[in-house]
Amino acid sequence: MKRCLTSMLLAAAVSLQTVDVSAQRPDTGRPGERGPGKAGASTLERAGLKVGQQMPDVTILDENGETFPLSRVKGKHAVLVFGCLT
Amino acid sequence: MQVYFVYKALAHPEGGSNSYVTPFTLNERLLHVQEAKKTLGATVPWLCDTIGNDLKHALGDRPNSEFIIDPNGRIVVMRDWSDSQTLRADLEKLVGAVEKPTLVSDLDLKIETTPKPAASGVVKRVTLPGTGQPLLVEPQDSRTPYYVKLRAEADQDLLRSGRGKLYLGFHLDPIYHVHWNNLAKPLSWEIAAVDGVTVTPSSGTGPKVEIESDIDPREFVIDVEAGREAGPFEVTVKYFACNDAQGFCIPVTQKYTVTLKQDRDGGQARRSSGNRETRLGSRPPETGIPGRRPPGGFSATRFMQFDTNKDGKVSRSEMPRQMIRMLDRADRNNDDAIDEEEAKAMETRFRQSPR
Repeated sequence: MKRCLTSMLLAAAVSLQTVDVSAQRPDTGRPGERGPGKAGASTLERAGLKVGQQMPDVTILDENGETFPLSRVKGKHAVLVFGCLT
Repeated sequence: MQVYFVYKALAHPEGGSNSYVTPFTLNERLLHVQEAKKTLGATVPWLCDTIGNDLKHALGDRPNSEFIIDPNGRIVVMRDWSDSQTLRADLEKLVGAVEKPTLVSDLDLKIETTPKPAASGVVKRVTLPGTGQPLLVEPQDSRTPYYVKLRAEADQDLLRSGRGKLYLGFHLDPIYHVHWNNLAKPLSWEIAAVDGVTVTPSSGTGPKVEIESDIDPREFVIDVEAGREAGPFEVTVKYFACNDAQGFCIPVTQKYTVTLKQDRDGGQARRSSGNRETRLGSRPPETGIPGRRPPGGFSATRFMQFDTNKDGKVSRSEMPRQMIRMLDRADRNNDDAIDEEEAKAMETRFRQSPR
């Protein structure tokens, strides 16, 4: 568990850094500065998403190009963080 | 507990350390994934959205959102913009805390710019006079990789009325490490005649560049008149692509189908340009209590008065020049404009800022 959590927090830290680097935005150094927190969820809600709903049944790919049905994340808590090189 | 990064369509094509451009194929997107993985040096696995962006569409179309999924596959937390501190707190509640949290400073980030295959900054950039919207561009089958990728953008007039300006940018894809050969014929393009569509000019040639090679985009702005029912048109481009490390310099001919419809996955390129239209010196009408500054020195209500065309948002061209840099911080949905919700979020942040 500890190892998994450590891995998770690494991801969270990296996801923050992804924003710093790729978007080249000035960093105020204040935690949460970039995120609208709960207020931002309203945009997702407007897109029709709701907390409590099932994840969409979409098949994407893993990093090696093999198909990856999103249902595969079931069985333990999972975090999905969207990002890209820019 | 498992974390995944999900690689999605580029939020800002031509951005990043290497001016990445929108991939056309799944294999090219997977190369981006490998590049991202190498850059971050993290052990977190990446997932890759389909080239049709199915997951992005299914999960709200945001550039940097995050979701926590419970073991039954239900969304228990969703956040418009990734926030590591809040995510950490959420996870501590859901699965417990860790003894020694990992910090950004613990990571071995490899943030390096790949050496460029040739010079850059030698060809003058060309941009639309205003904010361009990406158009649907469909590359036609080609046995040769798309070393050069077309990006087409329309100005507001063209999308609204069918008459306006069209940006055609031919960008070398950095994942192929190629450069232009300026000793050979320069890039040329041509638009095939289509009923109901008039383009002026309908063909063009890249500039003569004095140095032997470079990697700058070849960009053009043309006038388009198209009826409301005008169909797509075909763009043919010819160029030489050269890769010194792999020892090739080959002529390439490729074709695209361009449709005068906005590409919702096209992202927003942030080209630096000195010729964007700005309303210098414009000020919103004074409102509120004279002499009283709004809290934090920024008022969303006052700011929204720059929305002169009343479309509910303040676009780059409507903004006073000194405020354009706000776009980087306030434009959460990457439409190159600030709407009322984004302005209010900015006001809140100003209010919370230490003086």
